[in-house]
Amino acid sequence: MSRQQHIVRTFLELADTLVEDFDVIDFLHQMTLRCQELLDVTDAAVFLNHSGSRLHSPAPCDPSPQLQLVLDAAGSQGPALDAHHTAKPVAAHSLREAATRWPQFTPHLEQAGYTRASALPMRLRQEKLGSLLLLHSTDQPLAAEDLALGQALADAATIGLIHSRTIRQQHTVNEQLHNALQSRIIIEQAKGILAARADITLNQAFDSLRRHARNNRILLNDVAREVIDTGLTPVTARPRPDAADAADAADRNGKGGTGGTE
Amino acid sequence: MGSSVPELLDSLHMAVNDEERRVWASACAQALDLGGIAVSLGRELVWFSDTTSERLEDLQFVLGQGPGLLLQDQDETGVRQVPDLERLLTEQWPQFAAEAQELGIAALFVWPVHVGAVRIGTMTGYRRTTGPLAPLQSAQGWLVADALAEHVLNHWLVPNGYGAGPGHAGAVDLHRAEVHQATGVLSERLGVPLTEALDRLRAQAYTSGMSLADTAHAIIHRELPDDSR
Repeated sequence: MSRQQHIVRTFLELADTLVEDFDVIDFLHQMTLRCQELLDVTDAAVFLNHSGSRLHSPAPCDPSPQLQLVLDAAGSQGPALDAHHTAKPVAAHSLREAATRWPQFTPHLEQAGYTRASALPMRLRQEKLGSLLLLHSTDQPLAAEDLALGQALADAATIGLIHSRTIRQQHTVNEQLHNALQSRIIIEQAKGILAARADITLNQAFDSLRRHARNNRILLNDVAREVIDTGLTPVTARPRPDAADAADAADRNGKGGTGGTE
Repeated sequence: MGSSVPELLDSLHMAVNDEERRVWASACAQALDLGGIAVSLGRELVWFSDTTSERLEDLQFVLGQGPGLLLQDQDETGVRQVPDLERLLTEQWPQFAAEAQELGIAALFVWPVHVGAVRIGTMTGYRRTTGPLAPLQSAQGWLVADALAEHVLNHWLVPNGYGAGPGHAGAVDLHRAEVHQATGVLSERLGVPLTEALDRLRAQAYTSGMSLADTAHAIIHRELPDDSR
């Protein structure tokens, strides 16, 4: 599939998601995966501002421990916070530049093996909701067209976030942010329960939750709630590698041919 | 003490004794344009701005009626509005409605205070005039409810573990993933509900002298296979 086809497909898929009853946390997680695929970035994360001056990252839901440390730091200093405050794209083109601007944030970036970080604002008219953080591990600067595409993805994420419940109820932006961040907490609680129950890793638990949601056309958050409330265990044992691959392939086919991203 | 909701949230950690909490709750009620607010954690009334709010919470527990108790239902994750007590409550909660009206209350609003699937308690606000919440009030009420959840996580006494005062466990951000993962792990391993698992996690942090985040990290590391195989 050409890059252009991939882009078209991504936006069609997003539009598709928006018309149905959809899960905000699954949607934001998808967004971060699409950013990895379409932009020349190693990792991407959504940041939201709800209460206080910090930002919190609801997605991705399965960051590596190194990425998690970067995300924790990025909530209180760095491009994600600056892009949120200024409502403009923010980029540091080298680690040295980053170190000058964000002395607390940059060591985490460096330790995790990234070379640069940039961020795009998420805003709705006058309202600043957060930002999309992009982490790079090459020395190539982000091309202008990638930057524009990144902003389009950030805008799509914003629309999805705001749209997630408005069909059914009149919700304010703040409530949507509250919902998004709380549903991530529910996912984490369910991951912990499922991992302990099936003796699998946290990331395997998250994969099982998502796969179960996909295969049964249930919202990810509902699957998480079932794991918590009714003892649902959407995994038989430690998945066999071949079985996991087959399920992954089915997952991809069902969702429109997006490649592996880990 | 400031008067806007964000300013109040910044000063929440300073309200440590009963009187300071009352003053804080009172300022909060004012900022939300409510007559008063009360916060109950589980069945314990812990914050209230005035005697009317206090009485209102007591009534719900004593009578076993009222909108606050409904939020114990697990599907209730939104703010519960009773914009006209007289019209809505007389059938559903006749005794509670009568007593509440005697207190001069016309409308009631309840926000759940929760940490994901863990329901910690409720924040109930009342007004002496009828009508729904303005969108801004509803939204700011959520900010307060979330700040209270974080405050409880960090500062509130652990059952059976007295002395975990402010700052003891090292302030942890409500959105710290490992804390919630470890809560899930403990819930499964100990066969207890998430709410109790969170209490146990906090108690472990307190007794070991470690921070909540470090305690959570240690539990995950000990109990689960490693992701970076």
